[in-house]
Amino acid sequence: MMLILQVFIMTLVGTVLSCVLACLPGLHVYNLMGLIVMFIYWLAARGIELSPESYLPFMVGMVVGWSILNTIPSILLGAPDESAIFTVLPGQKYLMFGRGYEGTMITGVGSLAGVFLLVFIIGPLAPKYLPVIKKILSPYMAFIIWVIITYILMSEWPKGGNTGPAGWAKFRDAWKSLGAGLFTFFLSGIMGFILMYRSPVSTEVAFQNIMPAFVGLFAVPWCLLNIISGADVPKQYISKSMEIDGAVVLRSTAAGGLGGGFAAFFPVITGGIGGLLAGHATAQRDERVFIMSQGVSKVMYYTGAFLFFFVPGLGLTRGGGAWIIKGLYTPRSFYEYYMMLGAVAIAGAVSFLMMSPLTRWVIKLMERYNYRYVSIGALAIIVVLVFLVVGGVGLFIMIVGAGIGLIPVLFASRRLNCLGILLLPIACNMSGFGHIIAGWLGLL
Amino acid sequence: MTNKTLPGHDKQPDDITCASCGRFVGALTRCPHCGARVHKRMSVRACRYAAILLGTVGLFLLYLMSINKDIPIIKVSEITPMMNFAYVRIIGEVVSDPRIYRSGDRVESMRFEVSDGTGDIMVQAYRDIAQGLLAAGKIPRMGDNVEVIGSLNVSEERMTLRLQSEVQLSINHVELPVTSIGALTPSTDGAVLIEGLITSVKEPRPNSRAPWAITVQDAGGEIEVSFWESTYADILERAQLEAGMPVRIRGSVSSYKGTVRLRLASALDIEFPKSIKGGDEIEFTAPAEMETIMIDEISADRKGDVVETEGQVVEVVPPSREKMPWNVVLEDGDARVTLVYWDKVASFLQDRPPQKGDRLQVRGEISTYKDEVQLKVERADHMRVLNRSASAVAKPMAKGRKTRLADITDAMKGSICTVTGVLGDSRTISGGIVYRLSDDSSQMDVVLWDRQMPPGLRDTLAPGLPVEITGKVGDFKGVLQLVPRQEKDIRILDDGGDS
Repeated sequence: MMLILQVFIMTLVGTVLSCVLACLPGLHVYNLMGLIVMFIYWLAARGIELSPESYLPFMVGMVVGWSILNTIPSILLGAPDESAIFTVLPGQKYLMFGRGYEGTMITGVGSLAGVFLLVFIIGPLAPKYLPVIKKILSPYMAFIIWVIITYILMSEWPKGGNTGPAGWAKFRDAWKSLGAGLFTFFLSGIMGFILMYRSPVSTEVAFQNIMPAFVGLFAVPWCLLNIISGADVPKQYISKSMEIDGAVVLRSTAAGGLGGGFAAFFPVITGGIGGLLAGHATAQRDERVFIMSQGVSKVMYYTGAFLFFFVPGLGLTRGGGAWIIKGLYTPRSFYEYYMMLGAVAIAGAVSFLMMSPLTRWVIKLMERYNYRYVSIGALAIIVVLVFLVVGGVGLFIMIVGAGIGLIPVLFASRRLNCLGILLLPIACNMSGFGHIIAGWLGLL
Repeated sequence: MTNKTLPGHDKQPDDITCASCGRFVGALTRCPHCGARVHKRMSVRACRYAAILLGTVGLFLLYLMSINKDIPIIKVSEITPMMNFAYVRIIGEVVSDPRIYRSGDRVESMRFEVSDGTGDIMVQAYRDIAQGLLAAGKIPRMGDNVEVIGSLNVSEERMTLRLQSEVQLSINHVELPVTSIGALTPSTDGAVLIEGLITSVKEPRPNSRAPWAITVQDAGGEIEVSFWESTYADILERAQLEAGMPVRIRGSVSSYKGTVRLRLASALDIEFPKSIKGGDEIEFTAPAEMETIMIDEISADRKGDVVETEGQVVEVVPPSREKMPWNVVLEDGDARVTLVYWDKVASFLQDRPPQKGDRLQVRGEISTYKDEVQLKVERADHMRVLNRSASAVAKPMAKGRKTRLADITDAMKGSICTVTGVLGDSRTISGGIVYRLSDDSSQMDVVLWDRQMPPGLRDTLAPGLPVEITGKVGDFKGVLQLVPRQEKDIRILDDGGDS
């Protein structure tokens, strides 16, 4: 009984903490988890061993809380993580029409649907079917990743070139954003090779060696852009209804579940790609379905990937959270799995209940404080966090990443191209020639 | 042009809204809604170029920084979970035999353990890198000093170092002193080098997963040395793997049911020197060339001698009951001798037993039974058919009964059949590959075991290829299948006829 109470309390603490922290733009849950794991090692080095029943539910609470509540800054503060970029377009529209609260709550409902999908459908079926699916698909993982890369690069459409006289000027105008996207993918891919093969980050904190690059590629450019563009957010209205029905929820859950689930299961595919898949499945139909499917996709990716780590017999490590926890704990049985599944359910419920009050609170803060200052504050927190975890080298990597991450933002191409940092080197490695390219680059 | 603005946009700076349609455009220079150009403040435009400059120049500097950074040498005991993914260098001694995992003829991985004095770590190389190491002969042996560079993978339960390229492994082979076999005990640690004479060679049965086992003797005692079929296949001088041959073996000691054994990890660890010195300075030399004599020279006076002879098979008598030997009468001119061998040898002959009319070269020990001189054959490869008898070749059964797939029945299990058909899809199984063979009457699985077929054979076989296959009819889970035993049992046919 005491054990159940302990799990419940730790889940609650993790969830509440991450819900509050999720409201800060640009702050990623994996950065916080990295800090917490470092703290656990620090305690262990001093003879204080925490039980898995303490930190595992806490971590689940953090992942679930963040994956649901991160929608608030994504929509209201326009500083999403890379998985939320697609929410920004319709989400920002809602914001600019004073319907930010409604947009946030619609995404929240999607997140809750994602939790239901995980706890009631995927959770019970995963131990039986996922190992089989993994075995079937394992030989084709490299092909699947190359297909995804092709899909990302080829599904981007030209943002210009549709007006004016024909000729080179029009061609250049059309290819400006596409070229910027390809250039971003190439640069971030090279950066990925450098960091994976010969990271300048100290070996002492190597488990976080990709973190500063991610912060630079995704979080910093948005903060900078908010500071530069200095948009004033119109007054936000608290609506009583979200104008959604069962059909919208079902369609969103199907699209987001597939997109997020795909991202959670396959290596290197992140929530951003899951969102892209879900978005392409729904964008033309209904804006509400689009926004809600992003909520489902995000929960499916972040929470699903973390949960799959604990599926007995699966042996799947996907997503930053699972990689961070891997050094700390190895799951062994259904005991942890059911504990984690229970924690997901509790954290999901608590997070959704906190969604409305925290959204209102952030809206009040926005009315009181300038949007620019909030972004400056968020940027300062990110910089301090990177410095604390990785040190000065981390700041340098973050700045380089920010340079690359700004290119798609300023040239109107997809920020998803920044995922070349993972996709390119890992696809090359899985195809068996990553080390040859690393050799050409002089990294070996 | 319209001056319409959205609610709350009245205070927005001009350059983040479209002057044409009035909608929010952020940092874009062209409105995504109406396509009109949006004039930007200098700061936004400057940011574009600054971003490209920062991205490219910064990346180049990061690259220079990375390639000029020394790869740190770390001690195994200092590795912590926070070092996961760290790119490090470890210098130490190989403390386990390398294990090579294959799937068919493809190398999946190679792993070995390295100790730097403070702890042990498993070093792993996968697929192309493992294949590259094998191709370059960079196979560390227990006791060798190595320097490995790779990325750490640390979990709660174990830590490994993953090689990212074959150039990241440097080996300094350490020559070991010869140890007397008598000095080996279950507690003997690490790699040892022994020299001695092979006294027996135990070949695994076809399709079995048992290892090869040879017994090596020196002045101090004898020891069984075991190794896998894949290692056997890599031994270049495997023809010399015979009783009486001097051998030098490097391996690791293990014990099984209280008996000390030696494990051979790689084909490179076995040598066949011309002469060796035993553990107690007793000189062994390679036996002289096997004496070849005529059949009429075989007599009871030479009982115990191992000789080689040849003649024509005139009679083959299978055992009349269990535990009785096969008798093959060999004739040369007027002289005759009976060869005897037991089921153990016969099981290796399977589809190539001596047949009447064959010209046979045979090696065996002269013995007597009920005052009759006979030649006792201990191994299947000590009998070599020099010329298959014309009658045997003419008969389809000599090679295997030519038949259609539909005519193969349960009653034919164990017999040899020859079938002409077209290969279909293949599937890899543990230790081999299965092709679906079809002719105009039916279909059947053909099983090619890796230990019996050369690695390159797979490259020459493909779905749609017409072939003639000779093999033993077997069954697996009640389904009949054909199992060829060697490469020449598979003949690739031209579209209309033979190759």
